[in-house]
Amino acid sequence: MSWRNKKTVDDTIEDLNLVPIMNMVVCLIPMVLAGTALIKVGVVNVNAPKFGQGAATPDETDEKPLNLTVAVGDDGFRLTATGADINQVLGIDPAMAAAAAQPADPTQPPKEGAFIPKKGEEYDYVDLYNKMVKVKSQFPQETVMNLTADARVPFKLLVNVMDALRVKLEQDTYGDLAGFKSASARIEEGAPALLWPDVVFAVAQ
Amino acid sequence: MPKTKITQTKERTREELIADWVAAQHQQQRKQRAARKRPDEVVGVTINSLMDAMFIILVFLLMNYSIDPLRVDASDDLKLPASTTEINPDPSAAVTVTAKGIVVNDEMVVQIKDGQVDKAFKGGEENSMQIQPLFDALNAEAQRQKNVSQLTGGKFDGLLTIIAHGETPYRLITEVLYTAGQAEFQKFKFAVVKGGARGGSPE
Repeated sequence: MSWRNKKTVDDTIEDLNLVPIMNMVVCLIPMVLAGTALIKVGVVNVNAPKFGQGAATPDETDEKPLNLTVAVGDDGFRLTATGADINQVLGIDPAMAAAAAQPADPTQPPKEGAFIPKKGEEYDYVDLYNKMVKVKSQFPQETVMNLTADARVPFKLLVNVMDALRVKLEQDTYGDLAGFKSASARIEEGAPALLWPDVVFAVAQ
Repeated sequence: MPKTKITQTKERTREELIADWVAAQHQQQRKQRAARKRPDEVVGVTINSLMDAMFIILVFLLMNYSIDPLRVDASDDLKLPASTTEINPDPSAAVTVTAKGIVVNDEMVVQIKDGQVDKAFKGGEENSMQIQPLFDALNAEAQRQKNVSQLTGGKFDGLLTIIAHGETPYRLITEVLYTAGQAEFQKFKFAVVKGGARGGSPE
């Protein structure tokens, strides 16, 4: 009897049944693939915002910091700077600048700085880039850009602005959006030439 | 049986009989071999190479999965903006701002309605920037990180990753940043999806 049992036990030994494991692996792979491969997450560095009238850090040099600010509004971008007259830097005629500063509603105070209106429904990133390159060429040491926006402006617009102004492109000026989009970063000394990489989120007071 | 066979085929030579016998033996062996093989044939198709490939893919994906310092589960309430950035995320504390609420360490701390936090949560004042439940959560996180860095001899770096929905209004972003600043976080990284186009990505 015992001999018979042994014989039958010997007979039942076969290869491992891998079918359940296969099933599991086949299910797991699409799950993990869907979770990871499709979205590549990166980050954008932003410095601590300045709030209120915090004491400015005393500068050792006598030079006044440029304090360049890009404001994103419903109707376009507005460039301002406390360290220099932005219209003069950009070479905009003072009379035209004064006319542009006059708001449609006379009860409002005149708006400072250079205004870059929307082109139709789209923000004009190309003109913004052209102007900011011009500012950079006159203040090559400056890297800090304040970025502010109206309360209801969606956050993704700010990311677009930071993308447009992070690095210098092959040309200093672009005529159309297609050329601007397809341009690649200018390489200086083995690394991309930076334009305004240090972004500080500010709050319009 | 063999006897009758012999009597029937008296004329057959000895060699022929041996050849018959050998052939019969071969046939029997073949049958036995076939019988032994049958269980294998039930499993059928050779899937071993496929198995190997799949297992390698699985291990590779799982490795990637665990290395990724930042996990973002995209949904309609959390669509990250696309960007041209090349910077990879670092491990750090993370605040997630979706269209419906603010999440710290997988716990919903405060709800958002129409892109705003209810005024009741804002330190009591109308125009206060501080979101009190978020401050409490971040303050606890900062304290925990400080305790850890004290024990390990490291330094509290005040780094905070913000995973924000692309449609979040700027006002809410600044409130989150201000609150994080009050909890001693000073450096911020915004999570974005890589591969965006310069000058605004098409939706």
